[in-house]
Amino acid sequence: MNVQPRTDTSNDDLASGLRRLGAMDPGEDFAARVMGRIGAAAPQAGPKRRMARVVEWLTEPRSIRVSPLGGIAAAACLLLALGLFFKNYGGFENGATPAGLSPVTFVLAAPSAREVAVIGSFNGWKTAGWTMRNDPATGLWTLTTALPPGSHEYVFLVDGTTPVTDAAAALSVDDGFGSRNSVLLVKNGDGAAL
Amino acid sequence: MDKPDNDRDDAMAVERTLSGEREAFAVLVRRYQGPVYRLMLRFSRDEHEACEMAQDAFVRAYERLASYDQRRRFFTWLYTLALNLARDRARRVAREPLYRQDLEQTHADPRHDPLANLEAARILDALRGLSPKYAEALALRYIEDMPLDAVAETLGVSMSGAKMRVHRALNMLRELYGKEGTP
Repeated sequence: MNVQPRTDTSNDDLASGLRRLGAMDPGEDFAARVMGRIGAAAPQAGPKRRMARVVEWLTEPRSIRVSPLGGIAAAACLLLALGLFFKNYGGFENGATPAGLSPVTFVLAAPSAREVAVIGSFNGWKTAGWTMRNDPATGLWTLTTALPPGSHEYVFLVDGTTPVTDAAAALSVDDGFGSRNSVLLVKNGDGAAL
Repeated sequence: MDKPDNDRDDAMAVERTLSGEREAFAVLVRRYQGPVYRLMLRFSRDEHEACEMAQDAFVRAYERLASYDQRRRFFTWLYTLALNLARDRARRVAREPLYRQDLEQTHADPRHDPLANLEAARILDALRGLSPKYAEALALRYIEDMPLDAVAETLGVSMSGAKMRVHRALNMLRELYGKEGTP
């Protein structure tokens, strides 16, 4: 029996003890149990696959019957909607996503917030120019921008004081201050986020 | 773990899983079941609960596999997902005190002598007393035997940040371990 006081345990002893914990294993049938739970289900479609389905739907030939009056009305509505969008929403300056960047839309449901901004690694954690737009009818705050491919950390800053992580983000990381940052992974081309 | 060859194998296994070859995912489960299980042990009360949580993590990883960015290391993605799952659960479930008897039973392993099992249980108990930020740094460095750069990548911190965390965590663990073992 080791009678040495435990307060004398050296870091080397602890490291050795920790290494021994590496032998713990869930058992040989673990993988079989996981595969049993997965069953015959296929992985859920990711953003890229959904996009592929949209492209497929859009490119699929189909016949549409439109009456002349209905066609004119639909065209007028479309023009009106586009006009309103560019007037109110702005979008990007020249109407297109800058080269090398992917469009990204941040959304936060915060009906009682007075002001919400996105701060993150892509804007130096500053709110200037990153205030989100509110839709009072839905309580949703949105901001569309363009970001380069890669991993971006961010949070929503509510009413200028309260950082809120994005509940819709699949990933988050420790911010080093006892809280967490949401992580957005922007892929090339389609702006898909994990 | 996490050598370039493994990364290529992982990427291939992910591709094959996504293309409908379900068994390819079992390769990934076998490869990473140890680290994920041991991660869950640090957030659970016993090995049965840890095993359930580890299974949950792999099932979730399978469901979300299409959203995995293959430019990243698979293990980093999987570990982050599992860690988030464990933290969510820890927030939901109020932790009950761990009974020494449970720990001794949990880690009783006929291949090792009883004293070694007891020591392992005590170290794990002390590790549970650290905040996840420090416990995970120690676990990756020593339990999973990862080099510091891989620890830094997995935790999303710089090399020096990882080194500092491991160093501080080891000192904190020594203090906890000493208190825990003092009569």
